[in-house]
Amino acid sequence: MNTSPRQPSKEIQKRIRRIRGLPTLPPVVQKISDMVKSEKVSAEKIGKTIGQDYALTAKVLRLVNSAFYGLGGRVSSITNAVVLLGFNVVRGVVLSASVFELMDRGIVGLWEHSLGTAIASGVVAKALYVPEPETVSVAGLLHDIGKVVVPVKMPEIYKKILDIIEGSTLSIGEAERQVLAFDHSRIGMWLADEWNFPPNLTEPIVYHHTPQLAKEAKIQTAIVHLADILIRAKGFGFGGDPWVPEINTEAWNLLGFSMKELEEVVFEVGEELFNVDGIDWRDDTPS
Amino acid sequence: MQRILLEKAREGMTLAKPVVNDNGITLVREGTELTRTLIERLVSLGIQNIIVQGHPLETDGETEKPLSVLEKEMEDRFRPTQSNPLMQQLKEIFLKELRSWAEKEE
Repeated sequence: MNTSPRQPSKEIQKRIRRIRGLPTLPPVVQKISDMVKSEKVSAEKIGKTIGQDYALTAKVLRLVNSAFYGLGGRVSSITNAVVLLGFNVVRGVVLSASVFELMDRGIVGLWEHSLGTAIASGVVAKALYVPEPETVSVAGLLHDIGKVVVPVKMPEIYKKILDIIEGSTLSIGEAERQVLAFDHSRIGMWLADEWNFPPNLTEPIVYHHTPQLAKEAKIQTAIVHLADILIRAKGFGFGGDPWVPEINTEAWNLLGFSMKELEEVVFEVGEELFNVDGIDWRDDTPS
Repeated sequence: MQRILLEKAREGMTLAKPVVNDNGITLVREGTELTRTLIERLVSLGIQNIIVQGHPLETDGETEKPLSVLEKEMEDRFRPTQSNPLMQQLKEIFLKELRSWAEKEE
């Protein structure tokens, strides 16, 4: 692990460091982000701001009603969503809805992988009676946000990463580390910082492959770690390589599932995925 | 159960899952039997596909892979972690889940 076969060129490191935001985020996303930072913002005001963009509104509502396990299709307005789910969850959903097209352009199937992980995170969180399961779902939705930057911004470097994965049993993270000296978790951390995410969103993004390192959101991180594994195992979407990541023993023990309980979770996730499979997320995307 | 295009829907089919609109709002409950009026109504609402009980339509084979292929793909995905007993148990659960879907399709 501590041998670094390829030192990244200074040029790559410089370019990566310069990236502090995702490309082509609509202005409304920045606006929401600024609003959430101020203390006095109301749910109604956020609803109005998002509501100006019809396509985004439709996508956000569709996402809320399909990615959040157990809401039962009852969220019909953005204001309602903010009241029900809180600012940070809605902000994460707006961000996801805005970048999903970007996700798919970078890695085809990453959007489905993210949506699936959101659903699985919700199922696991509810099975464990974790408070604010919707926040865990949105952490699942965003956990791989760091994978978007390299393919979209530096396709020639992504090509090198793909070449390493091809014909090996290496994960995308291992391949990223060989080329860049760090992986999508680190890039995710920069983006989460940029967005001033709270720890219960940031830590699952940063530590979903190393859940033992989480400090403030241990259980949420362990849940997203497991959810990612379940979605990979199910073969739903594409996370960058074809393999199921190994379960971390510490996270597994923290979750404390019996095999019977895990089986129930797996079957429940399967049912939920069936409900969203075939939804066309691309139809109202402005090009 | 089977997901079918609304244009392939026929009277007498029964919804295995509720019909929801783009915003995820439930329009028709699961268990409802389709009538001509209901199908026309769903068409006018822009619904494109629905999930019905049983497996009323022949699939052309390209959308659904045979179980043996799906099992093989599952084994492949777990290949790098095959020495981990916990991962093996997880794989068995997923294989069981896979087979349960195959049974529902029949």
